[in-house]
Amino acid sequence: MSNTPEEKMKHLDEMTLLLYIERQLDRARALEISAHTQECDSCRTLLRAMERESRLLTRAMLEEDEPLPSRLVQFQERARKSMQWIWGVAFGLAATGVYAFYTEYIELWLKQLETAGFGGTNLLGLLIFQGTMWKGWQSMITLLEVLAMVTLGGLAAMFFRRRIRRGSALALVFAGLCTVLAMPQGASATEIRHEERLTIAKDEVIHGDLYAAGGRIRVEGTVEGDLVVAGGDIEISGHVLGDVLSSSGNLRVTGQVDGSVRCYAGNLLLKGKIGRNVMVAGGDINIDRDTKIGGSVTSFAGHETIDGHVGRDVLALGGQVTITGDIQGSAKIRSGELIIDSSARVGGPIDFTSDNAPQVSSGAKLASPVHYEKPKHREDYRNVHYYIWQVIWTAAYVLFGLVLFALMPKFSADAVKAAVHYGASAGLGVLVGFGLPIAACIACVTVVGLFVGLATLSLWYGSLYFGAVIIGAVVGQWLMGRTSELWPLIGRMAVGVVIVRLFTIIPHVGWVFKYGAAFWGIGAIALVVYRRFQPVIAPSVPSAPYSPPLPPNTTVGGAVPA
Amino acid sequence: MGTSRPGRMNAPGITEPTEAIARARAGDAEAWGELYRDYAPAIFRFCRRALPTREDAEDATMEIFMKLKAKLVQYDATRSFSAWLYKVAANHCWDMLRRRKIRQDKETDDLENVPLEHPDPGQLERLIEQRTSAEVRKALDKLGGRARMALVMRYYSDMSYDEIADALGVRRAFVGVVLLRARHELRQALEGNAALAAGGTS
Repeated sequence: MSNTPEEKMKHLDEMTLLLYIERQLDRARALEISAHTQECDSCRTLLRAMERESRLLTRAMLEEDEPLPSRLVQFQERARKSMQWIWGVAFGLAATGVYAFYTEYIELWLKQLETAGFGGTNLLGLLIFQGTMWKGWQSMITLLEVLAMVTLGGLAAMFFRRRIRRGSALALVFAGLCTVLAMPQGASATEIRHEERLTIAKDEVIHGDLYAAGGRIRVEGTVEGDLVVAGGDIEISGHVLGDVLSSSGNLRVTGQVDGSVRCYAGNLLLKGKIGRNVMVAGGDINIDRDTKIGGSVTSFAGHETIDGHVGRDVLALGGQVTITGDIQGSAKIRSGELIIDSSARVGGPIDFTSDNAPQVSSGAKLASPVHYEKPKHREDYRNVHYYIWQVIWTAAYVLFGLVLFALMPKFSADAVKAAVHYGASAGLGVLVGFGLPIAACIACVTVVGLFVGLATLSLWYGSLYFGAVIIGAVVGQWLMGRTSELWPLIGRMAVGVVIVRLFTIIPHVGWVFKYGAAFWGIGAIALVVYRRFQPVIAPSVPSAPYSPPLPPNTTVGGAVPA
Repeated sequence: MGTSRPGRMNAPGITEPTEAIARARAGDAEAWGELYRDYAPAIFRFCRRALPTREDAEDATMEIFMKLKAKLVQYDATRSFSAWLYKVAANHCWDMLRRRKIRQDKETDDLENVPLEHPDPGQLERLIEQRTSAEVRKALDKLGGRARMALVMRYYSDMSYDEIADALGVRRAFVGVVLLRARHELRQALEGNAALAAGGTS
């Protein structure tokens, strides 16, 4: 080829030829290559060789050299069949669980509340939707319910469907929250005050509801509506015509409240007149001698002293309860200790459940003797029922795990893998296991955060069980070897859960295993959640398909042109 | 013209399973089974070529179909289903390989060094002539993860350069380089001939 021009002598490089074969060159360049290969033997031979190489590759790729493994043939059938009964079982289990929960807890509670003077028909309604909190908010209850659904839906969406972008789910939740935040001003003639040291002076009158927050709050004047207050140290010495809803470190009510008092307080001192009921959770509760409560008292407290006058019933749960005052109705008390002083007067029956017998002074004026009952401890190892329940619980755990693994196979498998990072998952477990409920409770204190808090709490509660299931799978893998397949993993989970449950019924130390497993599992779950929400550098999933020339089919590469 | 790329441009494509997809989206287990039966063999073979072991391929196939179940709503019915399916499969396999750090040193090479050699055509021709497709498949096992993925995406599932670039996270302009390097690696594996693999000089 010595007579050809010099540039034609220059051979084409392999890269160019490949792009030519693959039709990646523009038309002009392709024509140039075509012309060159017509004339240059070496380039033509190379081009042909590369084309043959392409064909060889395609043929090698497309040849059906091995049949579909039986595992894959069965996979879909198995998954489909098993899914059908899983749903049946899950539904049955859920129904049983709801029924058991209702009869074991809710109904019992409702009865207790009713005896304590709450005619509430619905526990949730009683706690959340009645009274002070929603005065002027009634119109918003439906909105809040919708918000609750949106929040839960958003959380569910984030967990179940990664394809809903995190941003949009969060945006939805925050949009909901902002709407609620923006609403109350328009919803009622409410006065909102926020100051570090807030005092409603003696002659001051608030014509409506007062929402107040601050480090130190003194209400010496009159609030014609409800008082909703949050702060470090609160004293109500004035007159509140409506209800009081409070969350604080210290709360002293020395004035008059015509409605009910519902509060959470580290220390509560009641020294005034309460027209209706008192519902309180706190460390120390003192109902002073001068107190007059028109309705009933429901309390959860470390120490509680009832020295004043209670118009109706008392329901008290706590460490130590001392009665020195006057209770017109009945008393239902479940606490470590009960002391009834000689000055006490109780008009109705007294039911007391505790490990310790009550200390009743002979001078006390009681309508009937204290009905004392020792609580039945769950760990009654001699009782057959105990073991039956253990079996039922274990089965419930396994089924719960089954449903979760079937619903979220990838997430579950990842969590099991994460649990093997013992240090990280255990550490995170302690952090999240304790931190999350605390954060949720703090969120619950604020009106707006209530639903976020409740949703978080229920999620946390659910993940305690899920955590135990994850650890079951880890234990199962220790015994039966690791697997990345779903159904063998579920099998290992079932075996592991049974073993973990066996450990948890060991007397005295069983709880260590129980909570250890739950928290360790929570850590693993948290680890996976954290990893999922980390920014991904290279998106692993296509968002929209790009149209390719033509997809191959599953036949042998017979379409290779000559 | 002899330069037309080998491939399935003229091959009849699978008719789009539009109806089955619609039913599967609505939660019809039968339709889902249909899709699985029709496409699992192709996806398994894709994974088998792309991943080092048979077990990996089986696991990946199942994982891809489980993923698919959740993703089906994202599928744009106006596009080719199998192309979309291969894209999901490619991303899954590449993720798997990356996670295991199967990538070899070669793949950290600077892709901007475009190989511009003109190897001995006769030598390449002889090599290609003597090899069977079974040998090629065997040789694939010796390739680095990226080289392997690139070849499978291009010559098995007929993905475009754009799709390959997208899946491997490289610029489109370098897909050719990745493919050519992969071919070199393959030649080396087939022959153990360093000269051919590196590309001889003209």
